[in-house]
Amino acid sequence: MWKLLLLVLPWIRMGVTALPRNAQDITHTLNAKDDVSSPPPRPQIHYCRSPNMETFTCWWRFPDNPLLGNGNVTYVLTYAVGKGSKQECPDYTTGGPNSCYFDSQHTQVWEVYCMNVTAISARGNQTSEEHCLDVAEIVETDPPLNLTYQLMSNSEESGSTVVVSWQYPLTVDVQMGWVTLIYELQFRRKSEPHNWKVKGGLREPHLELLDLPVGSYVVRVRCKSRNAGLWSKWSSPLTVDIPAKQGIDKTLAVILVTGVSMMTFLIIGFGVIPQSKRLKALLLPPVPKPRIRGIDSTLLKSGKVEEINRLFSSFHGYTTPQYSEEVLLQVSMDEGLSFKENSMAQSKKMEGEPPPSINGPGCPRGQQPMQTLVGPTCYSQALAPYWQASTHGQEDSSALSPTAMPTLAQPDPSILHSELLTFPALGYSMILSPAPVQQINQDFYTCVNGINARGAVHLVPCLPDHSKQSPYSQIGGAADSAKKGLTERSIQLTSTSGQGEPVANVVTAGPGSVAVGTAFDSYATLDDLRLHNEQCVGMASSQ
Amino acid sequence: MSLCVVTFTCCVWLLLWFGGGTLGQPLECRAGADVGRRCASIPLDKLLERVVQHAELIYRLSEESCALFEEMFIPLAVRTQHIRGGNTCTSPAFSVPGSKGEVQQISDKWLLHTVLILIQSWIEPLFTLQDTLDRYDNAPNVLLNKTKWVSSKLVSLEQGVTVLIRKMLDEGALTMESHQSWMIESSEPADMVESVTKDYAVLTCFKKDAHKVETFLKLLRCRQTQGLSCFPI
Repeated sequence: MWKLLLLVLPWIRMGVTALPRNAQDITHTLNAKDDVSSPPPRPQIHYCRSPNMETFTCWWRFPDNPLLGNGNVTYVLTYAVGKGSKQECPDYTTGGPNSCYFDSQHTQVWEVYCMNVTAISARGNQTSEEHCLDVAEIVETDPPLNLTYQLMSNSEESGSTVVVSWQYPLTVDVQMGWVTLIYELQFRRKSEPHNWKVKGGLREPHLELLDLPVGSYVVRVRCKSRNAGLWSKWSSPLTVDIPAKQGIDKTLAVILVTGVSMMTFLIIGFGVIPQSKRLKALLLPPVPKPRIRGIDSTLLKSGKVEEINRLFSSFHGYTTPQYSEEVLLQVSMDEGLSFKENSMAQSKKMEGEPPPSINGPGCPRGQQPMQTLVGPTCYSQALAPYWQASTHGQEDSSALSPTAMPTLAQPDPSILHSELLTFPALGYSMILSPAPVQQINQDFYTCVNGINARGAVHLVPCLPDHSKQSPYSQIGGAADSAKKGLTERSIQLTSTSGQGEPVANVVTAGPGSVAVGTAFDSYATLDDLRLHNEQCVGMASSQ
Repeated sequence: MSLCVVTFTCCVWLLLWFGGGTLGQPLECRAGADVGRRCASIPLDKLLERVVQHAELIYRLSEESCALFEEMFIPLAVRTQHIRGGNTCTSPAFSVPGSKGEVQQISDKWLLHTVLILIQSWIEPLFTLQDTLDRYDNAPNVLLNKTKWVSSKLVSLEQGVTVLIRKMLDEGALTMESHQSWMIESSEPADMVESVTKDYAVLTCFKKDAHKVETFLKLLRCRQTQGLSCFPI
């Protein structure tokens, strides 16, 4: 092992010593190559700029081998203006390393400068290619300065207007017009880093940005000579913050709306609560009660009779009830007829009488000659007391036949009135309930129209016009007329009796052509009538 | 007889005396007030403004024409060579100031004269250029229109500068010196390439001179409107 190392050592030494030698050899060879095969690297004037068309600077470099900087290399730049003589660069330092600065004395605009730079090194000189330029065409100004913005208050529109202004670079003589600048502005939202909006072709150092939405923006500007084609570098960016000025408006609007709505609700609430019943009625209408059109239920409840009468008088056949009056007509006849009032008391004496059917013709024992009555008499339709009274009346004395009945206190409108016919001769009275009369439902009473000579009382329904036809005129000697009326009636009855229903029992008896009308439905039956008839006939025949 | 002559001469004198005021000096037009009036002259600042705008317009058009021409006819290699290989724009006989310092030191008179000469030296070459461009097969109409337009505008610019000279310098119309145009030396081009190269040179040189004219006129305007601030301290 050691032996090997020992053997190797000299080789290593040789290698080590050889390396620099090799390197040197390499460099030498390289140099040799440079010298011989390829020229040393040439510098190149690659960049010339003029900031204001008054001065300019040119830079050169070594594009092929930038590392090669060994040894002092000096550069010489020579130039010629147009067809003039060659001159050397006046200033190598102001522009930095590898540069040549031409001040205003040495700058000629609109003239063609052709220059080249020579790199003088130990290895030799190397001259660059010729580079020609016109100062007017290499103008690249400094960027604009002092960007500022101003918010313009804009209450009507949604966005706000911003005026951005800046200064031209101080190195450029814009005032004289030596260089005329043209600007370009770019802005973007802070949140969108690559979405720049461009506003170009600006000739004035300010711009109005209209209707910018609320937010934060970044603005930058650059400029260029209008007669050249190189844009300057971008200015330092400006941050524009557009405040949310509508916030105030929005809150105001919200407050207003809530206030107004609350007020309206309060008003409605206070207005509605007292009217709750009406509202309830409006919203949930009650089920209508039965009512007669034209008649107010309250009117009936109040009990004002005059109004009710007025109302009801419009109905056909209605006359004012006089139940409150308790009219008791005391008719004093010349013949000594008199009424008896207390029908109810008399009814007690009617024992043994045939069942108290009103219509059933009672067979009064006593016959009295019928006399015409004085004054209209109204009968109630409750004829049971009538009959009883009539019978009783006959029993008692020469009281009036049951035909002349006092008015009773309670009318019974449900009962159809009828004609009462008395046959004093026969000794019974009958009630005629003529069929056609039944049609008139609203007639409450019957009136005595007259008494014929035989004593039969002619009863007619009590119509308002009927009362006018009072038998006043018929009193005392109106028996003929009464008789006439009666006969007419009887004729009518006979004619209709055949048709009539329910029960028409025509009984012809004696001299008096009297027909018996139908009986009341509620109060009489056919059998009763027959019974009565038989009895009466029997009685009549017996007499 | 003598009375007639005397009265006649008196009338003539009176007329001349009164009319001289109006006839001798042309009425100066004021902005806004004299819209309907017949006025012969324009105020100086307005005139300068118009002249400057003209010059700017001409420069822009020349730039566009040059760019169009380059695109159509000049390959990229030639373009770079043209820039580097120097230009053969011949300047007029007298030296045109090249730096700002020099320009500022030049008097108005000199500036105006320089401008006028420059303008005048380009009128004819541009006309010639139009003919050559028409001869090309594939010259775009846009280019032709632009060059025509530039020629016409150049003529009006010349007129404007002449008026300016008259106003500012109280000189009569400057007769055009027989300026030897640099175009004369060249003969008819042999082939297309030569022709194209020549036309390209014409356009580029014209663009340069248009820039010069514009700059000088702007300096003049600055001097007129802003006074001493335009002069070096």
